[in-house]
Amino acid sequence: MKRGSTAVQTLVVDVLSGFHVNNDHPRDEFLIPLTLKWDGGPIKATGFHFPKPEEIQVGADHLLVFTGKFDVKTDFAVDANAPVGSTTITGKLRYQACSNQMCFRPASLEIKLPVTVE
Amino acid sequence: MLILGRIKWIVKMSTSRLVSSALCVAAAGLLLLACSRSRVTNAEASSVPGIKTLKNRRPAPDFTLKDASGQATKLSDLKGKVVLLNFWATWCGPCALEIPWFEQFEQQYRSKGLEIVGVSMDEEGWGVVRPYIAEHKINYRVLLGNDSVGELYGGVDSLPTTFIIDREGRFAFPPHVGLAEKNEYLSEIQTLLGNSGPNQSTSAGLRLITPASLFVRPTE
Repeated sequence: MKRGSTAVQTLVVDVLSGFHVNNDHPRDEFLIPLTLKWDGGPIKATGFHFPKPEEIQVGADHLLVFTGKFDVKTDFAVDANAPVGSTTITGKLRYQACSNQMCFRPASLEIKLPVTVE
Repeated sequence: MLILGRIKWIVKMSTSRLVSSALCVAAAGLLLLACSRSRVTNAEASSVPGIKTLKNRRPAPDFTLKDASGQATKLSDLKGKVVLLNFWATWCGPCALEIPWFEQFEQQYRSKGLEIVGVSMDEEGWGVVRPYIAEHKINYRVLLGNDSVGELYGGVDSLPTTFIIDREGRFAFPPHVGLAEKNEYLSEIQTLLGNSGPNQSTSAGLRLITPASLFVRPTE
């Protein structure tokens, strides 16, 4: 990436068959949303784009969820004064997966993103 | 039909236990727990799917956790009651489906010796659990769990996970991992409650049956 430029990074997520994760803005305040956070570095995350969720019914509740394979996109911007060179920035995807029968406890996946600033 | 059949069985078991209890009292003057329990357990084992025989029942690991008011509950202090121990969380949809059943069981069976204990595994603590209890009008004991207690119970990686514990503090059935059937719980609870009236108390392995519970055969 060049100093002062922007870029979009796509993270491909694949949820196991039969399971779902909550979307980024679940309707129920008690549900745990899917979140992606990036640590600081020479590039900054300026926006996130999640796909349109599916609506499923569990009991009487209508939930907004993601299933199967989907993309989460991050807008990155490189500061005009960022140091030139290669580094790795770290992100964390927090999710909470359920099936219709059970839920797993919330978990996080660490993501390493190699970056070269020119 | 299934429920009716089960109810009939429970009535029958109660009668047979009282008869055997009376015989034990007549013979020894004291009723040792094992005297009546072993017979009932064998009969239960042949009638209720999944029930463990007495010798295969493992003690439920003890723990002490606090409720929303800060009052501590020690699991072993609940000996003498049948305990439904439910690990759950506010973010767990299938858990939410079971909660109304437990509320109903609490109303229906508490006086018969059932204790429902919900252990919340919410990492955010009472800040999320307390409003959830209020919103869902949960009428049974809720404690805040932690990883240490989870580990004692196999990690509790998935929720809901529910254990049915007999009056002696042992696992009477295999755990329910995931959403179970309401009737499964009912069957297990009724089985463990079915033969013990409110007049009985258990202490250090000895159960005394008060005169009100004894079967007295009229003399001819």
